[in-house]
Amino acid sequence: MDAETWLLWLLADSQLPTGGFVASGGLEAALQAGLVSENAPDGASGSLIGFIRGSSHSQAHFALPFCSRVYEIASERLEAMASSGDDEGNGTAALILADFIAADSHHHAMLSSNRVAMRASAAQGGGLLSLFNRGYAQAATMEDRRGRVCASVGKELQRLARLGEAKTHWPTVFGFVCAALGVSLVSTQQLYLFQFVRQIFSAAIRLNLVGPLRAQTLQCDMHPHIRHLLAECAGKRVAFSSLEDMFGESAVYTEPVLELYQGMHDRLYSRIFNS
Amino acid sequence: MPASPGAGIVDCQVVAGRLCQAVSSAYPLKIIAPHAFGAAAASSSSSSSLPHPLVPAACYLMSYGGGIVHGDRIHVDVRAGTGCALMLLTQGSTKVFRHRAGRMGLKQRSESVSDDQSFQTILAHVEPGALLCLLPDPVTCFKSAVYSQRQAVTLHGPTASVLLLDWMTSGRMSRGERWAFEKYFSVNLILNQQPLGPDSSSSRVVIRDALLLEHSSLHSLHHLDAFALMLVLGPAVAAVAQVFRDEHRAQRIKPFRPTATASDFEEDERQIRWSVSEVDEHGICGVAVRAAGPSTEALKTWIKRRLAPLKSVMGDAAWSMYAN
Repeated sequence: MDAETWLLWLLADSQLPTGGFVASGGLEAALQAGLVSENAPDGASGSLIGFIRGSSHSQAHFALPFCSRVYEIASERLEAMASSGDDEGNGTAALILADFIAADSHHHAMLSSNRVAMRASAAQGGGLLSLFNRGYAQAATMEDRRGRVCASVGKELQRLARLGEAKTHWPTVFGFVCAALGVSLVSTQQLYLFQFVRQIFSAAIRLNLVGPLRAQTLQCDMHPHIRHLLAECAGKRVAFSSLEDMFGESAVYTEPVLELYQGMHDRLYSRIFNS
Repeated sequence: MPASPGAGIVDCQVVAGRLCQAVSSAYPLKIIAPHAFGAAAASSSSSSSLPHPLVPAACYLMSYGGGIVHGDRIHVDVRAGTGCALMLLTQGSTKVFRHRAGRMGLKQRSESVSDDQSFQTILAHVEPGALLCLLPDPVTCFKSAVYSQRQAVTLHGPTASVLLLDWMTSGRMSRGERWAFEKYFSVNLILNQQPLGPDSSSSRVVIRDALLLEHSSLHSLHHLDAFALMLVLGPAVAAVAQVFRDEHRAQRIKPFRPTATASDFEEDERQIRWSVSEVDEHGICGVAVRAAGPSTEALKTWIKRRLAPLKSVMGDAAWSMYAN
């Protein structure tokens, strides 16, 4: 078994302690407000499958380009370090940090009109970063120069997040952590969407919208949809260096009603999730 | 006059308490600025909570032919100067006509495929203490239409205010065209510009809301016919933000009823689905509101009622142009 497969199984584990179980990605609000109902036929817009198709479509078009971008710039910096004279890696760490913060604050701007989603993304990103710093960064495989640089970036990010100077959102931290661990970009993107879909299915089970066995059936059948989304979005990278970039379509929402329903979340009578 | 087709300028400043308005536009864009009201309109409003009443101004953005034709490039530069409350309005919905592949509009030839689309761009600057209200009628994309709308509002510090309404309908419902357009893309940027020194400033993106709807992937819109996003930011519209906030806080989510049985208008308005999100980034404070409804008219009424506090900011005469 190769190291990447081993890592992927760790990262795909439903017990991964990143706080994913507190988020329903808008499903709880959508259910209570009537966008999703138990009785809708599978695939209809009001069904769980319809909801997951729509929300994963939006996620792939809006968040995945951030994840891919952070992954790529971090990997490139780390590659460049290997062939440069930056012995301590301080220069590389500073560059990765600056790139990360630029992408992350742009991601933040895309969530600043959607407080519930922003809160969930920052909480989960913070959870994953903390897991990286206290877990993976301590592993023996991270003891080389590359690993030490990544560990120092992770620590500094957490420090800046505590000061409120960085936000550490889920897709950007996800991209950074996967690059730091040496997971391939293709696997990173697959894992990102897998986790997103799995999180909503697990929320659906806890909301009693679907039973655990039926959820496995449905999750099994999600594969063609996710494969299609990856084919469409794996090449997308968010661009934000100019006004034209910001006006561009590199990262877009595709599900306006989902955002609307997420905004209702804090007005629910009773709730078990925080998004 | 602006050189290129579809370009326009709206520049409003207050000089010695009077409105100085420079407006120009080039075919197929037409901008009309009625001079029906002066500073007196605003100063008569005693209920205004602002220390100095703003001088109201209003412009209509229109296009020859009543809509946006394939290949049109509308580009408007807007400035709301300190002390001014500028409303940008339209007369009737912005219709986006069908996309005809391979045909160019208005001598705006270009090689790139992406240039073969209709664009509307608004770049606005709101100076300290000024207010900009973008209150258009909704965009209606006809069957097969391809449309991109880009709006960037730069707020010069936390005393600048903006009320941005961006909304769209499912299409020509009377003809049975619902969600039949090819592509609708709308991006709204709110930037915050802070002076660094006498000659330099830095601007950062506070909000980027980018919505792409493509015919092939409309997942949850089928039971709706109008969708609106409103950004209500800054001190001049704090009263409007508070209306939304209060109503949001009082709201409890009740079970949803399908819209198919809705017949009368009141029923329609009760079926407006909406939510409010607090915005507080780098000194820019307010709310973002999203609302969706089964009919354009119901949503319009819903929005207008909640914007009522603007009347005391704009003055009766200017406000009546929107709320008539």
